[in-house]
Amino acid sequence: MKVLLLRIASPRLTLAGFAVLAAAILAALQLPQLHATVIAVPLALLAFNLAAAITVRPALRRGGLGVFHFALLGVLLLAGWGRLTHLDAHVEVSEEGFYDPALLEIGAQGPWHGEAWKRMQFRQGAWEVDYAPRVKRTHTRSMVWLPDERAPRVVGDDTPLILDGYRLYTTPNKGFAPLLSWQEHGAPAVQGVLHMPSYPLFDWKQENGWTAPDGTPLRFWLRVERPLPENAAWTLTPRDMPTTLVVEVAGVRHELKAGDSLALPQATLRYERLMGWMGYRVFYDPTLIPLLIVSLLGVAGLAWHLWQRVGRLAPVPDGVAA
Amino acid sequence: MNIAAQPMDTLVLYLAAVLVAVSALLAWRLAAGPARVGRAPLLALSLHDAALALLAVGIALRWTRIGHGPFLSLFEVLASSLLSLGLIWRLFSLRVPVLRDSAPVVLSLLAVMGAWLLVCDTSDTLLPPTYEMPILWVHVAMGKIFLGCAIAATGLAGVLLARRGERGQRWFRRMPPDAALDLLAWRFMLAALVFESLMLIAGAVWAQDAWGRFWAWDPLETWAFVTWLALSGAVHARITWKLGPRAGALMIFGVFVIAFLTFFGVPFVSLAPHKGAV
Repeated sequence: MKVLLLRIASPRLTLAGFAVLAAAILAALQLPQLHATVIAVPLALLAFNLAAAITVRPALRRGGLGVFHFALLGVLLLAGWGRLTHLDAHVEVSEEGFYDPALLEIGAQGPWHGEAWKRMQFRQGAWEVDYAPRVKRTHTRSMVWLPDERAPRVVGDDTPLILDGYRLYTTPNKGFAPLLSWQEHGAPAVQGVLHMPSYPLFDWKQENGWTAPDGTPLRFWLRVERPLPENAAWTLTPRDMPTTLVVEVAGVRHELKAGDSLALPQATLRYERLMGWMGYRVFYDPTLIPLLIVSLLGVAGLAWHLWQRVGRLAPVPDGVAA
Repeated sequence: MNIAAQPMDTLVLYLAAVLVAVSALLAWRLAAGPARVGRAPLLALSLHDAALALLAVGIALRWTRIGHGPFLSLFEVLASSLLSLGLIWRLFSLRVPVLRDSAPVVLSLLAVMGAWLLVCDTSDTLLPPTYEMPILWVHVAMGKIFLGCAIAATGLAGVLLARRGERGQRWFRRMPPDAALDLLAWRFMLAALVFESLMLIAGAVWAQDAWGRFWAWDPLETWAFVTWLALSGAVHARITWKLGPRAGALMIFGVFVIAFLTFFGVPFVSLAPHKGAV
């Protein structure tokens, strides 16, 4: 057993592990589909190697070097735990609407991640995005209302909304959402929003379709009546944008301004007003803070070890051999 | 390129880059000169100090004109690195005077950056909002100190390799024996390991709130981690195989090349969000 442990703890194995890991992450850079497995295997090998080395070599358990190597092992274990429990997702939320977990698009999820994202609750308020000349997006300010809170939170690309450990960030993915009413004759009106493609990325393609409750297929185009400012700073605020909603029903096009209605054989369609929708990135990793603490502890251990071992960066006097 | 049409800050930075290159040539001239009897290349160092002052002025002028620090384009990053690496090395050499005699090697490395700066696009840049986060300063500072430690070690490694030849022995005869230089070089490499680790940690904290994830194996993150692995591997290899000064010097050079390309190459060829972010 001890012989096996000594072999696993070999510093040559450490060097081989470093080389394989470097090759693996460079290969994964070229072939992203290899990512998880190719990197996990050498990392696991190095974790075993490190654990065995700490076991068989007392020097790796003492002082700053000990703190560094234990912390490094901790980082590897936490990184593994993080992969098993993380979530990376996106969701679009309409202005004045509530976060709908059914709309969450999960990009990646650890097998041990639960469904706590279904319990998040917030309401989307108004948002605005600043642009510098040449249509360079700068700051995003998205108002978000939480239950039982009297003031909104302001969320941005670098200012997350943190709910039960989930971190929600605004993204470049946002756009216009015309609010529509549909009222069949003799029935109460129902309201809904259409999410137009991201703006200004797809300013040339602001179109979407919807099938009315009575089965009528409708096609919509949103014409923004203000040209995109190319050479000036400006702020995108959906409700202040002058727009015309073009509706195509049975091959005939109708133009509606906010507040206009369109009488159809079975119902009335009303373009109430223009709102926006915001796309959020949703990130969850319970190891975030522990990873930071453990890694800082490890670097502190390494610095302590170096300080003890080499002292200060003392001058080497001329002609003095080390 | 119409030099006369360039703003004053660009002209000052060009002049500083030329001065760095001239100081490198002068350092070699003084090292190789027959009259040199036990004096550090003070004239070359003074010229380099003047270049540092000009770099500071040029960066301050550009900062005032465009409203943000030198973080984005290759031109800006080379200018700020010429200043920070040169300054860090000079500060080290005040504490460890023997480093001054490695000036020909170190100033040559800086001169390469200076020459590169002269051919870069000098266009103004726009600071993305994620670059306004205070943690970015910590990330950048740790990166600069890391590369500063690495360049100090590489200067000594260059001396060790140069002394394999008869000329190199003559040029660097005043410096301590190989074993002492080797030990000193690895002290700087170990310090580099500490600061590179801190750079990675601060970078991850920044990336979490800048891009909504702390690590995503983008090209710069990948190469920065490869640099960390190479540095850690070099430290382990030296201990495991009890490598001599020459092999150690070669490893230091290898790590420096990876770090140099990671800093000044990867961010400007990749299309990932990290593009231009050093």
